Amino acid sequence: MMQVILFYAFSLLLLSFAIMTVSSRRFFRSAVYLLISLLLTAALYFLLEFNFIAIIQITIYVGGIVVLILFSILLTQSEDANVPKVPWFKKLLGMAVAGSGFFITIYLILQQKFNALPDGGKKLNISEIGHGLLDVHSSGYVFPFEVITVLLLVIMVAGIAVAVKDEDFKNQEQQNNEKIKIQ
Amino acid sequence: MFHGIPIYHVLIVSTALFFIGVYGFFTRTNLIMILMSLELMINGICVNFIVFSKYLFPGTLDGMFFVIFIITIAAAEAAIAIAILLNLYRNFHTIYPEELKTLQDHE
Repeated sequence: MMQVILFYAFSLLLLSFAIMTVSSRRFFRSAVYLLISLLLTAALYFLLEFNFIAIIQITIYVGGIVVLILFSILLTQSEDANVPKVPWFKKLLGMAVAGSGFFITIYLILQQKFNALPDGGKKLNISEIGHGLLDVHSSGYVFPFEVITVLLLVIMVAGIAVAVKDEDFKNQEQQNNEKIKIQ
Repeated sequence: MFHGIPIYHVLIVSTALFFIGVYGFFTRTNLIMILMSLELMINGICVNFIVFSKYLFPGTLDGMFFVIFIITIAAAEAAIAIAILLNLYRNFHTIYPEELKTLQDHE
């Protein structure tokens, strides 16, 4: 019973913070609302007994991505920068697209009959996940694991390539700065 | 039925989360804000995978590995996107995509 109440409370809070994330006109507040909604998603994972995913959610999303976003806000915006006001027709258009998509999806979901299986009380522990990741047999998941590792390598190379500046690039940047000053 | 919560209610929450992200994606004009809406959308998708794994395939690992995959890609995407964004800001002093017109054939 407690879990049902907690689920509805968490999902209500989650949706309201998500709406505040996309509608707030302050950068910093928007990022903090995003942080809270990610934490509430982790709470939903805990309620559904996916503890490992919840911990990953907290460490990677809340600890990593939101901090990166906060840093980029700090580096690119002045302190009291507001988002420019969105014209009403654009808002209406966005609402129409999102709302129609939402109602079509909900209509399709409600038409489906899902045969929810009983849980059986079996809980996944972390060692099982590790064995699954490195299992080379047909029941294993070593292929997605390899794909992720290759992807992370590519991302690291790409990050270095984006971050390194060579001399030509520096000259070009100076020219750009001069151009901006002249303008 | 898990703890008395029907699967439809959890699916409605995840769908709403996704489409709130879509709304933000369409209305925001700032690259950081667009990135944040994208994170919300990815989050909704992850909840969806977890719910289907919990209700329809209990005890299997498929949904969980999809979510691990998605979260890894989301972290990589955020890192690269923010690196590109900071470079853009260094070169053009703006992060509003409507003002970035160098690659278009204006002027």
